[in-house]
Amino acid sequence: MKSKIWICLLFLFPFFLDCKDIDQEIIVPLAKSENLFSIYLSCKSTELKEVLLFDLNHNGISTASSEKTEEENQLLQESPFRPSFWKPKGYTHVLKITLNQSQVSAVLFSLKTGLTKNIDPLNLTGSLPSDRRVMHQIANDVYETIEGKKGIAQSQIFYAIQLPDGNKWKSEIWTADYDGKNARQLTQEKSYCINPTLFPSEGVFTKNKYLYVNYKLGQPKIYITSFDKPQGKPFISLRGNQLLPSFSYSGDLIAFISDASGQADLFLQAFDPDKGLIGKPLQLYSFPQSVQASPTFHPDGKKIAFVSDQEGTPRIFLINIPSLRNWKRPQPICLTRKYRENTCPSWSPDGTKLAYSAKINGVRQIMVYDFITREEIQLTTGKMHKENPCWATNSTHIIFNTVDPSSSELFLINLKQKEMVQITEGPGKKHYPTWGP
Amino acid sequence: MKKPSLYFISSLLAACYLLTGCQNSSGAVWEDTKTMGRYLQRKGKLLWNKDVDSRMIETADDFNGPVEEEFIPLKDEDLKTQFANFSIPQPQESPGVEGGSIPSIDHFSTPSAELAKLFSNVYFNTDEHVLRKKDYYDSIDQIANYMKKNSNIYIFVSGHCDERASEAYNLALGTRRANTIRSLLVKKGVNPNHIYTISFGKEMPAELGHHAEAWAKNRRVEFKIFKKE
Repeated sequence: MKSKIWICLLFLFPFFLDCKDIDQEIIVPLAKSENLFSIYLSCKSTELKEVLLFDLNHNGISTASSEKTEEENQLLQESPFRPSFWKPKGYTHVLKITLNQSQVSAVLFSLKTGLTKNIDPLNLTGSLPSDRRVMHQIANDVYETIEGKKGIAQSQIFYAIQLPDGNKWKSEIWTADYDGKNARQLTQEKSYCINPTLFPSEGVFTKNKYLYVNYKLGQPKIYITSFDKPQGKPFISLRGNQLLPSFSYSGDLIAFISDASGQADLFLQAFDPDKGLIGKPLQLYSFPQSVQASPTFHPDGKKIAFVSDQEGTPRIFLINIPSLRNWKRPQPICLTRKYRENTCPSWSPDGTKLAYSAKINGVRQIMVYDFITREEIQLTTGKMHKENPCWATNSTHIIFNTVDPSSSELFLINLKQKEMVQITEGPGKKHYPTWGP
Repeated sequence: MKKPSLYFISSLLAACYLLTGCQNSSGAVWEDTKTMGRYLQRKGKLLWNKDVDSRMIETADDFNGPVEEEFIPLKDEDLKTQFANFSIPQPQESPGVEGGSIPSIDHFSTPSAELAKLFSNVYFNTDEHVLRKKDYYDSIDQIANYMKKNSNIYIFVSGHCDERASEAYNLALGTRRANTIRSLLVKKGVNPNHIYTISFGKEMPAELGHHAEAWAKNRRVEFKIFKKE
């Protein structure tokens, strides 16, 4: 009789377990900054003010507002700055921009500390693209004054735009400011170019150059060119398809995918920023009857995360990479298990997080794996597929592209505000974004 | 009387558990089963001391490797045995390079009317690189016979995917599909230096729809031909 009771209990046991639907698991949001600084911005030029408003509203530490009559009148008065007027309105800072014909100057009042920061006058050219960069510099100065760290407002992004050309598809490499403005075409290969990849460290060989994948001769090959040259030349001499290059943060190794051996494997190439390639590519990882893709380096240069379908659906795995002395590769560790289809990993420059794309309820969303808490955190929602996340140098901002039947655009998001902001528009499918310095 | 009812309740509970456990779909259960199978296979090999690790890199000279090799290959036992038949190294000469004998893909053309049926597309199941229809294997046989008889024919095998996975992963999957077809042709006796592979991932869909029918038409391998004079 006892044994029968045990049998019953054995079958009943699973019902006591917490077996939630994997697709309905509670989403743990990233910690939102509860205390974003509130900045009042005064600037007479509408165009330049818009640049600053975007920067101050999407830097992850502040929100900014402008054009309020009472506040503007107060700032017009020559009298000394009066904290008693501003504090009850809830602002933490006031940023006053003064323009004359050829210069812009800024004063930042802190209502928390009572300190005033004068930002050195900067020259304006009258050309909006170049004056936008001046305003980004002011935004960075404000960020650095408040946060004590370097901002990303002056950084550049690189990406590919795919456009139809007759009955063929063409894709070229483009660059823009981090807010998507000042976009300009870099390559004019008249072929299919994707995957722009920047050299992380400048040397004699790498100065003013970048890599991309080019289908010009048929098989995709990794190409190298200068920012001022519209066409490049093959970079790595290896037969077959060469795809998805990625640099280590120190710039001494390049990981990429190649089918030189007859299947899509992970390869590694040693590199010297002053001299160029060192030795031959090394077949770093392969697994029978599986596909390897999208390598990304840990900032310490000792580990690589990549996509493999060796356990069924694509998931993200972690392996140690060869050091040059007495090294043995361990078993790959599967990092992401919460959802079934995980691709496009990108390691944050501080090494604590891995952004990737995961299919959730049929839609690819941007996720972040936190190496400290070992949590997989959903960063985006909505119906559009999102992929190719890439971190900014501050390890807070991520750029990614949507993949939608009607359009594919670039979006910006930061971990503290978690709001997707579209930064590109216009014809063509924008994809494979990467962040420059 | 008690016995059957107890067994009936136990069986019912077991059935409920299996059918609704964790509320996963049957597809998810199948994926888990496949994952478990591969995991056990790998761990089993480790248990019997089969080498599933990669080679060790011990000195900087390891990046140089033997002179005759273009890259330094892995030397794992499982790689040698398990897909020796599937993994055929790419041709030494890349098409389109300056001074080379094989032109770029622009000089390869879609098969003409009389060859269109022979070099017709082959199609794959979702996230797979293995052909599932006997017709496709017959088609590969015919292509192989044609290429063996016409030794001046070179082909590009291009792998394509549907839109449902990410662009980056699909680039790798397209490579795998193209190489599977290439390997089958080589196994039938075609000169491996006459077959080039290319992956377009999901960048060049044959059908622009966003439904199962369009996806099925996009998971394909296409052929382009060059006749060397």
